[in-house]
Amino acid sequence: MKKTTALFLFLLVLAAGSLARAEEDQRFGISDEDTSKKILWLGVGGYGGMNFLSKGYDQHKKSDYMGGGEIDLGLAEPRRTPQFRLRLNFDYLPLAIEDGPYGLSESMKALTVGFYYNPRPEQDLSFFVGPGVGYYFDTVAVNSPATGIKSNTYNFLGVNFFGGARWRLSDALWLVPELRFHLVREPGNFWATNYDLQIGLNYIFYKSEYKKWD
Amino acid sequence: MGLKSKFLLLLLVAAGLTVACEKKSNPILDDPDSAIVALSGVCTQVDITNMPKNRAFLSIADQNDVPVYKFSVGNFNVMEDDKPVVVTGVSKVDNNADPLSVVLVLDRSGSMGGSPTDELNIAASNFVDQLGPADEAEIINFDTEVHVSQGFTRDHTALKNAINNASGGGSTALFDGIGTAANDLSDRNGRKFILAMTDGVENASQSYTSRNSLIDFVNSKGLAAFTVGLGFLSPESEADLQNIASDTGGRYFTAPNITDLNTVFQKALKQFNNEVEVNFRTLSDGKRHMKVYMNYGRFTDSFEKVYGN
Repeated sequence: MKKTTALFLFLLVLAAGSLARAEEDQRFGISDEDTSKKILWLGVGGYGGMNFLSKGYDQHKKSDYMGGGEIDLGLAEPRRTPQFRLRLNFDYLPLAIEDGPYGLSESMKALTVGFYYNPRPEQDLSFFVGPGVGYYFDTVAVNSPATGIKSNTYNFLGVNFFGGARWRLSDALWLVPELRFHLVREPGNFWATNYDLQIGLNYIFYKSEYKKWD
Repeated sequence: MGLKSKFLLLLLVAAGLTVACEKKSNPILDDPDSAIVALSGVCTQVDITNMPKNRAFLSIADQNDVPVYKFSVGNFNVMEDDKPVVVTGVSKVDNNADPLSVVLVLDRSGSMGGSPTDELNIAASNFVDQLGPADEAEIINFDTEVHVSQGFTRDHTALKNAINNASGGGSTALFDGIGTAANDLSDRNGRKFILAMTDGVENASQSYTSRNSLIDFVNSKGLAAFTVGLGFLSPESEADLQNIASDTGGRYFTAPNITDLNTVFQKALKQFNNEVEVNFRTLSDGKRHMKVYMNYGRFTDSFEKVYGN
């Protein structure tokens, strides 16, 4: 039942996106012949914000700063902005441990690939959603008289779901506030969860020469 | 460089600085009393019921075998297969919340006939009387064969009947007795112990024909065997008891005379009831070699346990 509902919602979002695109094509005067070739969009981004730990991190401060960067890849017709994009994200979470344990520190880095969907990308303010999947690298280090200095990085598969807004600042620059929810699969089939509330900039450095707003 | 590029660069630098910041916690530590001149300890069990929130149980005692349990979270680090994991808490075990399951494995072979049997029955009965209301025990009597005289119960009368009605004679199937106890404990949750005593040498076991096979089996169940050697033992017998205890996370006690048995049993129970619980978040699966490191003022030590499947 849940799978059917999820599939229905997904199809509904796609249909709404298709209608939105048709409306945008009409509004900006984009004709069918423009769809004959694709233009590659490449962008980079950086972001920072707060990370909130929700499940599986009992000995940690529940919120802390986080940061990261991304590379975007999109394909679109010459006069269009991509509705779909692939994004490669690198995130860093410090996972600050509460006072108590001796010489212990932990941090997590994540390398994930996201599938990004923006139904109305031509708007100055538009919204996007999507899932991501990748590896989460959990590094635990200790330095105490009994243990000496030791550290190890554990690799876990994880997924994330994100949603946010894109606000056009200029032809190539967007301000991007975003919420991302992470699920990290730890041993014992345990899913640790945390989420980010972040804001960043997305800079498109390569795309079609045509600009609809010219 | 344009304004936009500068802004972007600034943001990336800020992200980079965040990455560079590694935060260590401030330790909260307890210090040992000045009267303590030596410490020894064992890790008796690792509870994996709430994986990945595991609990390692430690039995730590001073030079007089008095349990030590006043610790803070900063006094311990945990490593699994030489990889650090996150310690989340340390406390003395709450015996009401974490009752014991204990199996008394008692030697009833021919050499225990007469007066030793009477003293053994008194010591074992006193042990049962000192158990908490939620604790459960099983009585295994062994000679040439192993007899589960009373399965797990909180009924002290039934337990004492199983102790006092046991008959003796024959050889010493010590390994089979401990193996049966481990098997019976394996399905139980919570804290669990084997307390086994003998005055002789293993010479009759059928299922566990070597000491190592028994130790492997007890470890595979995540259990600790505490052993008691009564009277003057042969080097072979003493080595068996010492190794079974040390290699499973238990302790070996000696009772030079039969009248010492009661004191030794009470000492063992006192250790069961004064354990320290170290909570940690495991980050590994499968069978692993866990080591709890202690930073306790002038004392540093480590306690090991193999657990997991």
